[in-house]
Amino acid sequence: MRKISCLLMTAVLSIATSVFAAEGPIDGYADYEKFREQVQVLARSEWVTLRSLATTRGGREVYLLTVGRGKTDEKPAMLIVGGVHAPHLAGSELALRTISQLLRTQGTDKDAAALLERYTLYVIPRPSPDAGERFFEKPYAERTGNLRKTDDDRDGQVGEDPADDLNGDGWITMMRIEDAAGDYIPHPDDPRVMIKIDRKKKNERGRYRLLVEGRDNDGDEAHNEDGSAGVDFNRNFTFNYPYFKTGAGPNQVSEPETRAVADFAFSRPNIALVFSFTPEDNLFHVWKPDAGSEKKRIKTKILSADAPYVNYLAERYRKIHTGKDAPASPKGEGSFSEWAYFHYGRWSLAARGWWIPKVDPPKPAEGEKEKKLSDEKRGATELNALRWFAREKIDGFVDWKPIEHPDFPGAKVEVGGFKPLLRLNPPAKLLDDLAARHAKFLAATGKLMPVVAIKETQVESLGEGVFRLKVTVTNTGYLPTMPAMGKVSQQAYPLMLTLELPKGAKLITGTRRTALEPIAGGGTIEKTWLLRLSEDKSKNVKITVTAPAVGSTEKTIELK
Amino acid sequence: MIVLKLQFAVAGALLLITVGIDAVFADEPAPAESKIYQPAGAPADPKVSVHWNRYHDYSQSIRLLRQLAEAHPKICRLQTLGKSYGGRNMWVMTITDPTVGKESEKPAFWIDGGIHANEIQAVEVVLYTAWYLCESHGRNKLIDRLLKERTFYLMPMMSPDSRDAHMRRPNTTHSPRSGQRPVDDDRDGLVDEDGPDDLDGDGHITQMRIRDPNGRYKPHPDFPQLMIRCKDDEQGSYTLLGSEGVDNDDDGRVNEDGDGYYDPNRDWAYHWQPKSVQRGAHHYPFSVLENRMVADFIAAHPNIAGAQSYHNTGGMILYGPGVKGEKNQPADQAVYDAIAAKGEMMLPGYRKLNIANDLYEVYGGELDWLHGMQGVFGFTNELFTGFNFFRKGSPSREDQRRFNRYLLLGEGLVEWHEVEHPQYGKIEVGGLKKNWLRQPPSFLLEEECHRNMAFTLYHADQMPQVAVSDVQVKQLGGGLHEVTATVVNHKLTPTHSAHDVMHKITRPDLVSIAGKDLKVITALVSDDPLLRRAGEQKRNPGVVRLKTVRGMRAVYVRWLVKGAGPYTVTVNSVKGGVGSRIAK
Repeated sequence: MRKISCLLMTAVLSIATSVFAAEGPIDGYADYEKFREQVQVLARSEWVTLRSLATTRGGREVYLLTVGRGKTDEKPAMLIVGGVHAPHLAGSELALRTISQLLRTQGTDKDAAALLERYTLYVIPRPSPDAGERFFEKPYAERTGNLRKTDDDRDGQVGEDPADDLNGDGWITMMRIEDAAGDYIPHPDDPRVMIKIDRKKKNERGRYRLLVEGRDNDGDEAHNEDGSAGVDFNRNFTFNYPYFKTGAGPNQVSEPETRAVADFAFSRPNIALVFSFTPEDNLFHVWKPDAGSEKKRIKTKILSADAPYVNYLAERYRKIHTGKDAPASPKGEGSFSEWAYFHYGRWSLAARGWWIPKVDPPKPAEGEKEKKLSDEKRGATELNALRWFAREKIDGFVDWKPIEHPDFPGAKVEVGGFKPLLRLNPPAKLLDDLAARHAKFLAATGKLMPVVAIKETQVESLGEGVFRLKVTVTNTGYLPTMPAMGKVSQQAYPLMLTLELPKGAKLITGTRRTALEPIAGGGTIEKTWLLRLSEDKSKNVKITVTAPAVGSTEKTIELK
Repeated sequence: MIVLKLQFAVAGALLLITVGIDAVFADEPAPAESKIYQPAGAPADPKVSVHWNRYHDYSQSIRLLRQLAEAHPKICRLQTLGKSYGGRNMWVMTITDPTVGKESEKPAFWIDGGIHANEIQAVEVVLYTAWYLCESHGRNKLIDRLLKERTFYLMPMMSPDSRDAHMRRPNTTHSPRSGQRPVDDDRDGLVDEDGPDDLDGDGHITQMRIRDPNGRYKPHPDFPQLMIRCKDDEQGSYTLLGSEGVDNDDDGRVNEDGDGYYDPNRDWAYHWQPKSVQRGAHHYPFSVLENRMVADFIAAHPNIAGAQSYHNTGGMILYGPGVKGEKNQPADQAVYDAIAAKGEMMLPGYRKLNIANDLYEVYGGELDWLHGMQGVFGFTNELFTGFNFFRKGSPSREDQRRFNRYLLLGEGLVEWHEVEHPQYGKIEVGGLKKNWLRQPPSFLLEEECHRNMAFTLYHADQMPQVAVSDVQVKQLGGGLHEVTATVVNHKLTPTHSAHDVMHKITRPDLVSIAGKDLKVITALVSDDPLLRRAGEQKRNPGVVRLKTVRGMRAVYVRWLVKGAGPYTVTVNSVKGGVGSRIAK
């Protein structure tokens, strides 16, 4: 029976893979309609339950897939969120494909099977689907916001000056205006790349002003300052919230999308770990603790008690991922993954998943002289991206071409530069391999989670029906039963030890229900009670130790 | 006797039955018609008669609001923002004189009460204000003018479920501060499982003590109900056991998970911090349902320029910020100082204090959101002060007991008496009743309501009010005219706080010129009546954008225009109202 269903499911999941295709800036990425089909196909699996946490302003659903069997809300869980930064649609793809991968392999891979058997995976692959859909909106740009009408420059008018596709190529790129007062010059090795001058240290003189492609539509002498960007899911959470900034929204957790995700998270004490696909990576660039800030009332750095655990997990991740030279993580203001740790109090792992790999400058062809390169450090990432585009035959750069610009009469204005989205999202053909690596990592992490066990019980009869009972509880896993931040944030639930006593028995010391302090991996905690049994009754005491995010264990002993 | 007098009044007939009464009234003139003697203060013959020496629960409050809306349909309107967690409507009353100006264009004043539901007189002050505004309309010139110039939004009960919980269920004067949505405070998987227990069933949660010759407490020699610590070398007689309660969930702790707990006034979005930093914070700003409705309403009414939130206790006129290290812009602080200083004069025993520096630090308080994210000047009054016991100083615990003995005639206390505690055995319970200490007793309530309302009306009157006070036209020849308008704000409060200007919270005030075949060449703006230092607005000069019009100041706008008059100059301010003037 089990086998049959697995086979069936494999068939179902391969259908899921076959519909991965959509029009857009990059082939093979799923728009909302395709995404919805994929989610519904996945939901046919006996392992998956589908529900919507909210409907967006655009009428799209914030889907939650609950992956697991049995009473999923009563098992320890991981929350996996993709598409946190909407233009990083790869995050949404990876979340879904990672789950598909786990379901596909759980018949053969025992780590994957153990993960799904023991843990519930709550998966929100595309938490802000309206913003996600803007990936496909022409002209292409990296749009982060949902469909709320916002007045980004706070002037009382909404969306009066968006970017404009001046050259009509379907991409919002950049424009450079020849201007001796500008701050940019071309890179000495590749004039397509603009680098910023350093007046003070290098006594450089600028040649260009650099602006996003567009007109000053409202004549306020600022370009593209109000495209009514909407609210960014990844700028709308409570930690380090960017008040009054574009994308932040009217206040924290103001949107149907963020509220749905936060409300869901707060309603699930069984979530032990949050894994986000987002550019704010903390696996290649781990968060560093800081002794000074640790003492402050408002915590802004990972606690030093938690850092070694996250470092170890990150090390495992890097080995499985095998990537190198990961780009720096952007500053996360109001971000989801930081909220998950600092305010929600859970282990929070964040993965960019993919970036443009390092490509060496091409070797000169036979007989050709090696091109001498400058030692210019600025623009190195951009040069590398251009080399990678060339190698992969990706049309990722719009060559600078002059245009007539009404705002700069008489000046030389050119439009060009990197196409948006292509440096953030890999070609779709790479996604399945990346998903497999993330599935492997999640399965491996399943083996590192805390496991509570009753290590030892000691019963000592003091005579006359009086007993001393000692119970030793242990954590046989690697991670502690909650992060230190779980306790600081007062969000994680402690282990509760409950004694079920025979009728008529009375506790002399101790309580029937006892909250336990967190237990480190390999650590133990001891509790002692004095109790008295009444005669001629059952002498069995049942001990239960449980926490929603850790799991349960129980043992019945006889007092004699 | 009283019955007979009533008969006179009602029937107006003289029908004397007994010789004795005949003798008593023989010399009096016949009472032709009963005439009300109107004291200074509230109307003595209102359309809706209310006793202001008692407290109103949810349904009594709503009945009163409905009666007011029915009796004064022209100036007042009742609406609900939605339902609370417990299914009670969140009523807002709008009061304004609609014959002058649009409700949404007049500067508006927000008044709320009872966000901390145990602070019950807060609601009464809002109800009193609604009643007073309605009943005084047409009788009091100042009220008539205020209702013409301003819109009032009154939200008497921010936490209606807990108001009823305080009144109907056993509580202390301090509870419940939270709303009624259940929260697993101790995260043990059981929700609200261990609140206080009314061991003696008297409706008050008091204190527990147990006789103990080795205890360190003893009764006060003059007020034996009061427990005091023994001197270092003195033998005690009692051990104190905390608030009335039992360990309902067998975890060794008493009363650790009662109704709620989240503090609705730690739920507002500016300077919000989670509960690890700020006790009482819920999940995220406006995760308290009732607050979200209110925040949405206020955000949808940007004409709200002033606000008052009523709390208790301690006689304080509080202003933000609630967070240390934050400071009001000097110009904004000057406004708070000026209004609060008037409050100190009007409210004997009250002091103006900054929340963070003079009281305690509060992250996520309502005032910080009002000022920080809505550009609204707001105060929180901590109603009632022990000063009122004997109208002097700050009272000691003995003074409380003295007040109880001589003015409450002993009704403020539950005397210690024995009860059987399921876990502790024979103990005693007793202490202060829930209905005073933070709340004024009946005979001080009305005064509390009136004085606080008067302070709030002063603040409401000092909200910005823009007008075009003058327009001068000068011919420059060649069909060119110079039109100079004086835009004034004859109130204490600016149209935009300095903080608002800094963060562009409210759109600029717009001063526009209109006329037949008018071509506006350019516009100059200055604070100086002679326009010696003027800025030019190049873009769209027909509609001049002012960052703010300061309190008690003017802004001068000069246009160079082509086209003859008349010219209509209009000022439109989100928080400062509208005004216009025509010049030839």
